[in-house]
Amino acid sequence: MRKNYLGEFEELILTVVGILGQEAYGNAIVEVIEKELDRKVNLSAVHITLYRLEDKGLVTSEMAGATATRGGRRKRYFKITNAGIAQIQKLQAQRQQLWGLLPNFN
Amino acid sequence: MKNKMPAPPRWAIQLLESFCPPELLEGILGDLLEQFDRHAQRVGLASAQRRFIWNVLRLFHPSILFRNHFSLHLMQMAMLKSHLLVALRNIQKRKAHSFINIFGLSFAFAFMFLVVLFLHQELAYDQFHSQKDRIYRLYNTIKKVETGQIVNQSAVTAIPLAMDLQQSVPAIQYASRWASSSGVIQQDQNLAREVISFVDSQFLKIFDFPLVIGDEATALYQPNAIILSQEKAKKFFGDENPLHQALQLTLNDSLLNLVVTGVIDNKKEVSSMVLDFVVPFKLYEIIIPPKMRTSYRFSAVENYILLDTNADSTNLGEVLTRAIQVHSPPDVNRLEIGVQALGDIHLEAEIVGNTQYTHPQKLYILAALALLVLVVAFINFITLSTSQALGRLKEMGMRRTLGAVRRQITRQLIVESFLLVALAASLGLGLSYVIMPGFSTWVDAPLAFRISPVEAWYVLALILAITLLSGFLQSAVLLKYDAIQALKGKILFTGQKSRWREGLIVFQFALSILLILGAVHIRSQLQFIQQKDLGFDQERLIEIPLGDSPDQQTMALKVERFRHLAQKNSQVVAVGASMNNTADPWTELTFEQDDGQKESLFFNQIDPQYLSTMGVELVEGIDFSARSNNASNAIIVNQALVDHFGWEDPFTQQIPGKKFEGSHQIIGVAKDFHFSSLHQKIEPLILVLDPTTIESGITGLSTYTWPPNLYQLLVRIGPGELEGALSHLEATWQELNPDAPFEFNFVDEVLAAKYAEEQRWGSVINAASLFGILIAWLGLFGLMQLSVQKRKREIGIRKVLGASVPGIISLLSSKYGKLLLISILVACPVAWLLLRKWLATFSYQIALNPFYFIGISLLVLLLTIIILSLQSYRAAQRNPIVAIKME
Repeated sequence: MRKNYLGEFEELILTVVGILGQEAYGNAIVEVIEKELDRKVNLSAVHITLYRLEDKGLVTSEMAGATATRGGRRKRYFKITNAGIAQIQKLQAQRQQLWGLLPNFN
Repeated sequence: MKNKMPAPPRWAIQLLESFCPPELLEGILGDLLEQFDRHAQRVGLASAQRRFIWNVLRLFHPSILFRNHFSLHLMQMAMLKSHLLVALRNIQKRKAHSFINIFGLSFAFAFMFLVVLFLHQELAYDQFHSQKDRIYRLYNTIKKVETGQIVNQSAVTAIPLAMDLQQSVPAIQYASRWASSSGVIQQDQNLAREVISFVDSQFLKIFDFPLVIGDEATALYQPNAIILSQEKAKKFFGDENPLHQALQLTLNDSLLNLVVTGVIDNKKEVSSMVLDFVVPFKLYEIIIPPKMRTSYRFSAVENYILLDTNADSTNLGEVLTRAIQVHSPPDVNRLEIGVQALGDIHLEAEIVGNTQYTHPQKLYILAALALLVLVVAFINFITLSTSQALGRLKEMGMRRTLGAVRRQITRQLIVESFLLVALAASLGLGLSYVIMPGFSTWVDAPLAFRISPVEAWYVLALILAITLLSGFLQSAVLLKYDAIQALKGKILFTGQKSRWREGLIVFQFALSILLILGAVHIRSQLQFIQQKDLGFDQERLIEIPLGDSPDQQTMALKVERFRHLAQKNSQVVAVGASMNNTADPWTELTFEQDDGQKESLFFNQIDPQYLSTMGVELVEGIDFSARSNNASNAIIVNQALVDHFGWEDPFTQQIPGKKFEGSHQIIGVAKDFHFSSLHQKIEPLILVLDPTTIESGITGLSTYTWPPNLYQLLVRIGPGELEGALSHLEATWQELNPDAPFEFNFVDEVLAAKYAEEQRWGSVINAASLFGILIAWLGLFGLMQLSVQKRKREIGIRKVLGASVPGIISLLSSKYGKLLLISILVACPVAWLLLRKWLATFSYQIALNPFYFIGISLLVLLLTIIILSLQSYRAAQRNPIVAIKME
């Protein structure tokens, strides 16, 4: 049961990982959220969430692409798994369903 | 261009490297550095560094710290089990050390926990009022216009103050006065003297004292309303519903028929204001003379205001001061109004009113004591566990050769110390539960044993801090040595020194000695005070409050009749009467001089028998009782007053004051006697039979008791059983006052109560110091045992080569003896300075005695040497052959 539940922040990060496709690593995620949603998020919090998502099997990760600004360190790229896609699809569907039940807005 | 690349602080990176699992580190650190560069360009280096550090701290999170693959998890669980097992075995193996460690720490934990409970409670005072940020208590500052010198500062203020201000300052939403006075409450047969609170109708709109029964909006509007606390409602009405019941209140001999309009939750545990009986402020006018009701010269009540929600509270004091000028224009002195936020008044000890307060010093002292004891216990724990760890070098060597890495060994040591500390903490919690009632009386605060989240966090943080520190220190000590050497047992410790451990021991003993010196001096100062000659005889002297009466004649008659009847018992030696009592500060009058200056003199109205009953002697002149016709203009002054004015011949002098009409005659000078606490000097005092003698000269007063009248009876009991005399006095009282309860106090007990505070603090410090030195000795005992164990062979060889037993004892003990000497040299000067500061708060103080310092130092030294010698004697006595042969 526990695995089926996603927090708001987890869901956000998972979605953004999906949006970024091949380019999803910590800083890219922070930037997208900042640009698209005008919301400041903490890089460390993003990392912590990413590993939690990985534990839940919703994303996978691999190391690649060292650049000079990082002192030659590689990036950990995350990719959304099929289970992850299914999870956000399910959440979206549930939300649509609930929205339809809301009386005054449509 | 800067020629240096901006970089995040090195320590932050190192910190991250130290706790972050290596397989995550590269990705995380890379991202952080990348973000740091961007931040550095966008918002500047300092801010980028701050954010970097914050990010690193944020990563201190379970999902990072404990993130590992499944297989590794299993491994670690297994290792943890093994660690625990080894730890338990270690505790069993070294029973004595484990006991010392756990025992010391658990006591310190218990003390610390109680102190945290106490501090918590003190800080919670008055915080329950939902509008507390807008509620202020007013205080006045009286300053000399010319010099700006402060004459008087008090939160007991004039009666019209808040109401006048509410009229003229729009920012004040509500205002209320709070006055208290004693009165006799009567309900059927129940009769008791109680403290009555007088408040304005807006009082309940300002403060959050909910009515359990009754309607808040109307409870105080009826002129004959009275609200009871839950406790008092139970006392007078039992389980009956008190609402609309009748209750009688006697104030100043006027009997009032009141109706209960509510029962209030007075939040006694957390409220500075104690409300047992609340009546409309109008009733206060029965007690006070008419001219006080509108005058700014008399201070009698506390004034509270509630500001509007959007009112600006900056410069509030100045605004109020300006507004009050209309009502109290400055003359020689100027009245300034200040404000105290309601949330702060409980810990305000400088400008106080009639509410209960706690001296903040008390909190600091307690916190410091708890911290000291904790430090002493903690040092024990560290020194013992690190030197004990040295005995496990072989074990560690073995572990390392079998493949244990640094981190694993550290982890094992942390698990072990955690076990010890956690055990100590839980024992400590249990212990604190047991000693809480005693502690409660010491600090004079009712404590409730509860573990709220905050307390739980404190305990947890403390456990973790001690665990981690001792674990890391142990591993640092152990891992210094080469594994193979350690395994072969080739490392000898005989000559090795450990500066930091020695430093800790010195520190520990210095603290303990400091505490002992403090305890001894506080005790002797208190004894000195209690044995000091007060100028009157406080033994077998009884004080009986006579109640209130509207006029002088009635009271004088009461006293006369009581004296007549009481003295029928031969044990009643003398009966006198007085206006002021022993417990409260005496009336202080001010007399304005021709030049506008004000003289403050203490005042008491007495009857002719007072001085002889008290046993106060006269320096010169005659007592009131010696005059046959008792001219009403006669007064007696004390020696301090004569000295104050520098009079050569007091009998030709008058009390100076420009408003004086007519003359008074000084007929006697009384020897100085203490009428307030020994914290203060004896101040100038006027004693009169008839207060009208000097009434014309009075231009102001500060007092608990006014108008003058004989409110107290004083009875001197002769030798013999007290019981008989007391029951005779009670019978006499009942005969004269069938409606009033018979209450009495022994004067010596009242005086002792004035020093109860110091007494209690004395015992807190006593306990802390005793405990501190005990733990320190225990620690030393343990250390000594360890070093003797380690040097068994060395001792054996020395003995074989002809060393004597005393020689070996001194060899083993001299090191610790030296450390103790250093501690003494550190502790004495510090103690000297601190004690001199404390003694300065007393007017009559003992001199700091160097012999105490030397004596205590010697005593500690002697006892320590005995402990050390006992240990080394055992070692020196052993058969050397056994020791040498031991492999």
